[in-house]
Amino acid sequence: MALSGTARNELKRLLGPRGVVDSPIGRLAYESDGLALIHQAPEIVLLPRNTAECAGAMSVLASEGVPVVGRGAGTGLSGGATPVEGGALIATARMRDVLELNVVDRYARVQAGVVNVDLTQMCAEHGLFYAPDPSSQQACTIGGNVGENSGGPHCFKYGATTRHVLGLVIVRADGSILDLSEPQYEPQGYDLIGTFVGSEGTLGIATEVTVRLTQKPAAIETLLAVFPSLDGACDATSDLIAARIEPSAIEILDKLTIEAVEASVFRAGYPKDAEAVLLVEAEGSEVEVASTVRDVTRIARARGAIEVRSARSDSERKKLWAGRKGAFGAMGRIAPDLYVADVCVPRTRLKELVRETTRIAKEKGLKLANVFHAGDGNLHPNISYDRRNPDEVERVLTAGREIMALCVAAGGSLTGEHGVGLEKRDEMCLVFNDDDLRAMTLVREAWDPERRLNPGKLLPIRGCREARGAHAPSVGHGR
Amino acid sequence: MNSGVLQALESSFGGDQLSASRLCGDGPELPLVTPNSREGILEALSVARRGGWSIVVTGLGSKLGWTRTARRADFLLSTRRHAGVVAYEPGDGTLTARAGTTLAELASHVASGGHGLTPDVPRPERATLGGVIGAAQSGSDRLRYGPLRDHVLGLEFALSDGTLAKCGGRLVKNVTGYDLQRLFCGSHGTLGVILEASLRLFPLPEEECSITAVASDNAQMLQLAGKVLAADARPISFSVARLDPPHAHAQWMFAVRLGGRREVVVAERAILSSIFPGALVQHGSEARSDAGALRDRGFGASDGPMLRVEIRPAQFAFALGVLDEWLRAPGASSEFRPRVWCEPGLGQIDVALLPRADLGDQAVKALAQLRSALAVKGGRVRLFNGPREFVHESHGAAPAGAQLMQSIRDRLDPARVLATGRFPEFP
Ligand SMILES: Cc1cc2nc3c(=O)[nH]c(=O)nc-3n(C[C@H](O)[C@H](O)[C@H](O)COP(=O)(O)OP(=O)(O)OC[C@H]3O[C@@H](n4cnc5c(N)ncnc54)[C@H](O)[C@@H]3O)c2cc1C
Repeated sequence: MALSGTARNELKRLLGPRGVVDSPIGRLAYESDGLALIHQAPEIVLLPRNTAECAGAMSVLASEGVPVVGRGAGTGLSGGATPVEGGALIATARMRDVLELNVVDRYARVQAGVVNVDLTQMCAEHGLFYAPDPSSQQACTIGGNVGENSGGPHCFKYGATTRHVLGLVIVRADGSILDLSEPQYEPQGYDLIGTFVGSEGTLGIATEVTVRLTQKPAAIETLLAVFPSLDGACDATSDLIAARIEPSAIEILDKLTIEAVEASVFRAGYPKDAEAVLLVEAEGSEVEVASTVRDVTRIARARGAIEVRSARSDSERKKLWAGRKGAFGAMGRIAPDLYVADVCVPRTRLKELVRETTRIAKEKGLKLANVFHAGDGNLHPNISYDRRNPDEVERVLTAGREIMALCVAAGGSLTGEHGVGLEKRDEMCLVFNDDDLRAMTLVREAWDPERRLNPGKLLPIRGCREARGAHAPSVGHGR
Repeated sequence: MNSGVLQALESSFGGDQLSASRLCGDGPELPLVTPNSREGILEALSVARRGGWSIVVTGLGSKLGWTRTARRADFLLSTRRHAGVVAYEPGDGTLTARAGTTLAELASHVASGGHGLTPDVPRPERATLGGVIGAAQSGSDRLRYGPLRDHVLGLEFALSDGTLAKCGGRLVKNVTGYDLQRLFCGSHGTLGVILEASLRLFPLPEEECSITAVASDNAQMLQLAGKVLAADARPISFSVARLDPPHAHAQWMFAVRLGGRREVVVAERAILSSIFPGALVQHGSEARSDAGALRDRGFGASDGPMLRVEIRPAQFAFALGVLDEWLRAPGASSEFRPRVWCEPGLGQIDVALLPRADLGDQAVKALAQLRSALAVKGGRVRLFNGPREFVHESHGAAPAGAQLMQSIRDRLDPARVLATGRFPEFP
């Protein structure tokens, strides 16, 4: 399985000297993604500049039978881009070109390595934007967003990445190119694009993505509702959903998060004495925004908000959002390491499950902060820890598993946007049984019969029945 | 009817679950089995496997003419009696129901909690949940809500080998596992049998109104359509029908459906009234039936042959120009007498064709011309409910990915129990 000398030379010839990284130190830079608990240096890192180079490289790897992991910016939080032993890593860092911007038909065709926020900046002057806005948007790539079907605060209104992908060019495991780049509003035959988005690099490498661009709304208003308790903020969210109010984003930040943000460069002016804040945005026509704002204010107050204020200027609005989007980073600065869980729950049960996750962390002597996409029921319990402390690491991982089990038992799921990856692979058995997973495996094998793309991710390696018998080993013990 | 098939079905199903139906108007009569449970559906699959037979999966059968006819079909399996709401969560805005439930039943069920669902189809009492998902059907409300596939949160399905599996879940946001929901949307029963589905719901509009107006010719219609789409309003639907026969001063009729919070609808109505001075405005349920009536003037409610042009929305005017020119050309004009129905905001033009049994080579050739003229700007043509042979010819070349589609199908249904040949995309 090891890569032969001939193959290495062939790859260097195809990609040029800057397109291949195989020195021990060079490879080390790619040994993990945002899930830093797991690391594994790749055998070789390949940096193609375009589809043809990627396909060429993939053919060589196919003939050598080498496993391949795709990587964008490596900001993923579930170990999706963690290399596999002896395998190649294909990274899109040199695929950053915008290939077409069509403002009339409102789409853009970009290389997979284009950074999320650059896309929005590029079309801003035309009154357009790219809707999915992960908090990591300053760094993460469109290809990575496609890999994970990423979300973000405004996906409450606009939907996650999959709703915004109109076309793809995919390099398949055998090196063949599947060109679906023509924008598709209705698939011809099976929906291959819809199946690919969120497949975490197990079905192919996307080299080009055609994305839908959205028109900027006529009016936007951002509200900050200040709560004396986290419960109140959760209840207000459940009430907003039950009352069928439709803002474009509903986010919650708790006290620990607020403290971290306010102590960082992302300082947003969140009140430090609040137990929680609800950050809500309304978009649309002036009338629509005004009426939504009125309802949100009423519901927040009814649930005990001590203050509901509205951003007075565009810069204040941006600041409020920069604080939210910088929250993980801010927390990362006060603790050496941060474990970000990503579970989804029915929105009727927010308060109860947020309480329970807090209890789980407390029991294990861990510090847990909440900052999450409340409107979508997508919790992010964030646990700070120090990875040099093996006992603490073990407690963090146990807490993570308990939180997942808790949410699944309450009708929730393992992941709302960060993907299954390596981290939640074995927990897939909490949600699905062997038959469900077999159906998924059949589809995977249709795309990649040898299962050489991102092996060991997303789908459990052993059957669930078997794994349940001999309790599944936990991932997360790097070196 | 194949007596072996009938016998085998009779030994597993009582008379109340067995009847006969046709795949298409002129096709042979086939046994139709309508099991009333999940187990019954699995049993029907098992009968097919044991006999080496091929089946066509259907709901109420209204969309069988949307794809090619199956190459081989020994019996029909309908999920229409596997029906009922499994869970409606008003506080979470989600619904789970069995495949045979009709959209009409679902809509009235969730209306009790202030919710509505998409798609808004012409005859919701004739459309089952499974059928709508299987056919990836959209309604004119797609303008507001987007395609159905964006709102299918999870599925339970049976593979032809009897495996019962699920994907997704009941949550509005979830990326756990592959998104097989999207794969099944529009698979026309060729990958498995959809048993149950969960949907995201929408708030029922607090207020509704419809605005009906006319335009004298193409140029005026396009100009007004452009204004509607650029206006600060978010209609539920926006359709334009060509009057047939045309009136003295009107060739086109518009129907804009507004809905939402009361004050928003009032504001939007004012905006649209300034675009269409003198338009007819209807409120509440009248508004709904008004917009519906206009739609039903088109092909919407008929099962007749229909041609659909799909193009990027901004290229709508281009497509209409190409289509009109094509309709006037000798090859087409001798074969088609169209009624035209458009959704400008969706880049969609439907042409209801006169039902004729004998569409010949001429028509096939004409269609190929239309297809290549539209392809210049990424447009496509599809034919629904067409005469059999014609449908086979009308879909054009296989798209990219046809081989992969075939291989997905081969893995999920290796014994080819589920009808083959329904897709023009692959054999
Ligand atoms: C501070 C912070 C905040 C975050 N906030 C959010 C958030 O709000 N919402 C959210 O959804 N996520 C969030 N994330 C997670 C992460 O940023 C997203 O998952 C992002 O989409 C990953 O993009 P990437 O380019 O870094 O991809 P990577 O991490 O490099 O890869 C992610 C996965 O996609 C695959 N992949 C990468 N490129 C391709 C390709 N071209 N073709 C096929 N597969 C590919 C990889 O194999 C891997 O499985 C956050 C992460 C951080 C660190």
